[in-house]
Amino acid sequence: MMRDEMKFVLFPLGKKRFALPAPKVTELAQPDTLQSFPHATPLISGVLLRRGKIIPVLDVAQVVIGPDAPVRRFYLIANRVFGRATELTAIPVTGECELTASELLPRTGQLPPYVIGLLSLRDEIVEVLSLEKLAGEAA
Amino acid sequence: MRLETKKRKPAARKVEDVILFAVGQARFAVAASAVDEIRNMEGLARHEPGYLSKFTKVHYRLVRKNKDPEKTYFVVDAASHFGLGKGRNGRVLVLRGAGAALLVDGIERMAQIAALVELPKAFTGSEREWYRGLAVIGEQVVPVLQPDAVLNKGEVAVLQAELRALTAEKKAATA
Repeated sequence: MMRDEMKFVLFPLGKKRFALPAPKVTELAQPDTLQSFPHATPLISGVLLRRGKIIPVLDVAQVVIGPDAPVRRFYLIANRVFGRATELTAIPVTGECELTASELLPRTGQLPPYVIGLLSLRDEIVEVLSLEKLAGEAA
Repeated sequence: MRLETKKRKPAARKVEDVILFAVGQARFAVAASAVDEIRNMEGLARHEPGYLSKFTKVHYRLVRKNKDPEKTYFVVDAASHFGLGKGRNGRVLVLRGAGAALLVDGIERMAQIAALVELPKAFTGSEREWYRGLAVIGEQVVPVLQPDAVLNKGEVAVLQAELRALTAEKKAATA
């Protein structure tokens, strides 16, 4: 019987890896200059200016790892949904990302709501995140 | 039949003059048309916050004796407005028509912006009121101030009423 596999992008945050559904991810960006200005939105650490576009930076590590998250070197650029609209969002990650195909397993009740499912890889269980729920939780 | 094709004039790029100013490490822009005057700290009178704690960001009052002596401007400390702690307070931007002025650390320069970019939807806090949008100046992203958010007309009216009450109270006490 064929498994119902989907593609995911795995990204490291400290010692753990997390995943986003691959269709949401547009690129992995090299370190870029983070620009910031005063604002009051939780988790947003500033914006990147990439190819003339202003992309907000959503620092999810503050929620999924905590305040002691190591330095994030790269940015994963993903689409975040706002009602009917989508908007590019940069997520700081600590290292290289990987594309994988796997079955999305249902989340267990103990996990926070922003974990929408789990991936069972060779020697690790990876949490699949929802950017929308993550940002909502922080707000 | 020969069809004449009209050559379209290229759409004129609408540029906007802005004043760049600094508060702490942050840099902002405000439309030059929204600013009536840039002045130093001379003539500012300390404003004691009244019963409305909301207005603790109003640090001074200003009366321009030479220009409009009947009008009191309420001077908002930009560092307090944007939650930046204590500012160095060097220049006052008197905003056009509003009865409000903004106390900033310094004026950097004038610039022109060709486009105002809507604030990304990811920003959901007070910044949606503070800024008209974002501008790219050189390689820098600069928020463009929404002047009404400094103090709107209603807030100025409340402050004026508060000031009148305070003045009357003082007069009564000295009588």
